Amino acid sequence: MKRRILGGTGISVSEYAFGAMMLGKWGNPDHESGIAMVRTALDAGINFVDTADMYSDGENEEIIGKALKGRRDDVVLATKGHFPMGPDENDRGNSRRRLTRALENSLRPLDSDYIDLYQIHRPDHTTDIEETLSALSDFVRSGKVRVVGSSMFPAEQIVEAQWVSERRGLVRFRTEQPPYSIFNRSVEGVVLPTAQRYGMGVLTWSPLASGWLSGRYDKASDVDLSKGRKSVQRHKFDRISRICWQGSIWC
Amino acid sequence: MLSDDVLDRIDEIVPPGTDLNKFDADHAPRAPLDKTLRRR
Repeated sequence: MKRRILGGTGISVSEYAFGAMMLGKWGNPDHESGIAMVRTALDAGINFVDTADMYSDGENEEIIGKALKGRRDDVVLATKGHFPMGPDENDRGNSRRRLTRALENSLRPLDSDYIDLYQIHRPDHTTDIEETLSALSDFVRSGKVRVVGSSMFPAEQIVEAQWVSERRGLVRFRTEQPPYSIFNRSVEGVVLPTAQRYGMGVLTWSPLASGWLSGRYDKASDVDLSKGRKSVQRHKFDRISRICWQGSIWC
Repeated sequence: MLSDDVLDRIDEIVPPGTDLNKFDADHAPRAPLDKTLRRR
């Protein structure tokens, strides 16, 4: 497995990460099966695991915690905070109050005393980015987090965050996590060049377009294209399908 | 690494910088979607 350095942090990660989102009630509810998948990935040379507090309402982090038992220090573990985890208005977003609780609530199920990469899952228009970066800086200084990143930040907010970090002497986002696949290329416009400009590593979510590019489907008629994430135009799916097979992308 | 030929053909179908699957692409500005952001 090839390795890369994560966004200038000096942390070596495998080219492929284990994206854990579908472990737990959102996808595969069988914990033992999920644990086996993670360990198979680690055995194959993957050392990078990405989860989030909100995946399967927290169940996901429990599965990852169990799967990494005895192997935690061999893995670069990433998680995220931002989305609501309860009915309280203060139990969501990127405030210091929220993120401090979110971090503790991630460390517990993950059965770890540190997170390698803590990501802000989405921007929060109600919280000054300086508040967020200030809290993240304290996480790093406390030793509970190694490096920090963003997810789904538009280019202008990436730039703002970098400038605030520089002005205030705060930790800066070292990574950005946007969706990216043949079906989702919008980040090529400004997000990827901006991330590159600031030396940020890019983790892509949904690189197989929610399974569309996994090889499970080989023609548009196999799937229901009418709703949700299956909204890709049928005729384009057919053409992409042919080209991708010929190009051996899905082997 | 894909060949230039394959990448060129992909570019013809899905132009660089565009999205086919809008659901996964919520980089769109929020204000047009959320009226509370326009009426504060």
